[in-house]
Amino acid sequence: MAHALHTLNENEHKDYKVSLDRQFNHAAEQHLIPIMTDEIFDAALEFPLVVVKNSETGAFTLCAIQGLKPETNLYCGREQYDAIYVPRALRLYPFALRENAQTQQLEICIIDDPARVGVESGEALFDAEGNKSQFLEQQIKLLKSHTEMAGQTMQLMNLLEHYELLHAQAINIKTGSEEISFDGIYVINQQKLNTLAPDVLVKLRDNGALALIYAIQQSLKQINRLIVRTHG
Amino acid sequence: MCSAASSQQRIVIVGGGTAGWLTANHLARALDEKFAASTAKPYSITLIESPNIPTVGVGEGTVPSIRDSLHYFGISESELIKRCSATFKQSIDFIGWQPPQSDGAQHVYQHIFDYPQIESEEALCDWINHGFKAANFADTFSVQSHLVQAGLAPKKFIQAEFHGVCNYAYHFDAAKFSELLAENATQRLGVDYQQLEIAKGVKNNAGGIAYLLTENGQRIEAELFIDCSGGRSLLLGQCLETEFISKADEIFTDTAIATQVAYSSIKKTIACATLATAHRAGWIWDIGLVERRGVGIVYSSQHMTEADARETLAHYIGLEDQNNLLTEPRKIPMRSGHYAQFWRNNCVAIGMSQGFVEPLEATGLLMFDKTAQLLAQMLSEADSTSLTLSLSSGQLQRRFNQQLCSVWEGVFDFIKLHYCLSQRDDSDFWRAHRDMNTWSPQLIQMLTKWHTQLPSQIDLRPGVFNLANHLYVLLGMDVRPLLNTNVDNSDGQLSGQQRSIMQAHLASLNKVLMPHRELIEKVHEYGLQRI
Repeated sequence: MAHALHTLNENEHKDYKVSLDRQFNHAAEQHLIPIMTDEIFDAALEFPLVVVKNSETGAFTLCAIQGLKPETNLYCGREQYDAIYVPRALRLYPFALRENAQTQQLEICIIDDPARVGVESGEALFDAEGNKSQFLEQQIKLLKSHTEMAGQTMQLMNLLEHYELLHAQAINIKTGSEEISFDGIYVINQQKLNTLAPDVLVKLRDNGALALIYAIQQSLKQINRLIVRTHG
Repeated sequence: MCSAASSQQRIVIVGGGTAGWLTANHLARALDEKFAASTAKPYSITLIESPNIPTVGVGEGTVPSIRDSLHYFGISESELIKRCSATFKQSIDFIGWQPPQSDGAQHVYQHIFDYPQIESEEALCDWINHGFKAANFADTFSVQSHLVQAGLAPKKFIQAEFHGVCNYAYHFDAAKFSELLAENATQRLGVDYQQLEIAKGVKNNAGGIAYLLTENGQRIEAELFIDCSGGRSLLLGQCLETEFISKADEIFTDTAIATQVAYSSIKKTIACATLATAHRAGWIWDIGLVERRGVGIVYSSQHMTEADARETLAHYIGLEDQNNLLTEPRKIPMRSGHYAQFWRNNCVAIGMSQGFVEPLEATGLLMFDKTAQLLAQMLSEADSTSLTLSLSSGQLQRRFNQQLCSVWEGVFDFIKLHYCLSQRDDSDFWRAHRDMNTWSPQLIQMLTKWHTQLPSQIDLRPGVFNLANHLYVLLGMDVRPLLNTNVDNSDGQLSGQQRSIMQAHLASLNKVLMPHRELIEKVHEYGLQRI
């Protein structure tokens, strides 16, 4: 992500095109991909979901593990993206939202990645009259729902923290001769979950968090898929 | 307090400095746990503070055990850092405690908080016989001394509160720390607070305290009085006339002059260690908080005049920073020693009211915390469910007094160790410290043994300073046992390996740790997670 971020502007970017990349090469060196609450049920069927701390703010962030080592991804940048679900964070690229420091308004930005962005080929961002193309409109919709869901996801993280439902766990995996250990990872504290007070349980059930929590917990089993892929 | 139910045991703490509030938090927390199942609390805790007497407010240095206490009280580390101008402390750096080296460079050693990682006794022997020439003890057996020298913080930002890659404590503003403790005790732990001027304690026939008398004639009764009145020792000393055991003939420093210095720029690096720089009749402390430093001189008035001390302090602070003084340098008399008993009848003294030693190893807050914790543990662990019985238990009192006596004796020996090993010859102060007549019998015994043998934990009294602490000072002061070299044929190899292990560890930490001030600023902005 060393590429510059530019605020999207119909004059400056009127000839810009974005090429599609179903291999998601941009994430080939990222082993953790952020996941939002509305993605949990889909993502949990394929990837282990864990909570990590944002290195900049320390805030808890939900992520799918897509590689067993830092800077490796077993799905992105491969011959074929071999899973049914593609996390939205991958699909957004090369677009992002950024808060304007002056106006505090969210602005649509484009990441200046020459592998994906240019004037030669790909999906046009604007039509001849300078109107947003259907492709761009779709991407904007995706960005907006991502941002909305980011708020919800933070609420879920706050709930987990508040009810002490997270605990740090090092994940140690033996694959053949190699031993891989993950730290800085938080998973659902099963013992705490099993002993929640009835009123808290009802609250978590009613606001929809409980099902998500169980899905996150269950998703850890998907670690086996990653182990198989490492050898495959 | 007269409204208390007859069965309720009233605990009254006199004095609201850090000692008083640490005691309030420890007791409230421990008793709350002990009586969690009871429908009515069988006790009440009230802290009475004079509206007029300011606290000494100099104790700004802590040791790592404070982290356990804060966590136990339910105070978050982020809160501490944000509210008390707190910074991280990983070491006390001793500067000039031996004469300058042949090249004129100051002698420096570090008393760090991490335990030395000594792979084997052979490695230590190898360092003592050979390895010391290549690197000093702390640098050979730890990474922490290197981190302090590099100005790096002891924890990663994403580590949980109270967790670090190295062991650490804090420097903080003592007055703000008191406020934070007070708020926690009164708002979260149910401690009552009253502002009253206590004139004196009045004795009863049994040799305890009958009641406290306020300036306007009000009587305050209680089942347990805790004297946190500071150096005047209002109850244990003044009222009960307990014998004071002076240590003035071992520890000569008897006066301090303290001030505060603002940083010349807000981006100035913050030292991650207390700097303790020796001078000809004592030493100077230098403690870095977020916006300012606390600086002060400790000296022996027998060996230095006040004018000299003020000049020495001014010289240390330097011309440039003289304009940045936030407070007038303030003189504080110090009386080294401790009372013969700390718990007598219905009166326990915690804080400077039970004893005092100069602040060289940050023993102030350490002792307040340890004593308060000991009392809280004894009261809550006693078999009896009746607090009345615990409070009047002679056995508990004896254990408390014996343990604390041993702790204090160990503290005085440990402080003395810093001075008596010095070869400084620039004043009678240092020469007098070398005179074995000023050493305790236990200290003589230990140093005699350590002349030819490695120190071991069994040489020490049970107390607050253990083997690692003694090794850092002893070996830091270049006092190495003369070991039998016949058994050793490694010729510096083992300690060389030890250094390589530390270098590798250091290289990995260099990648993940940030400069001290940077981490503090990050905590101010985002806070730390509890887990």
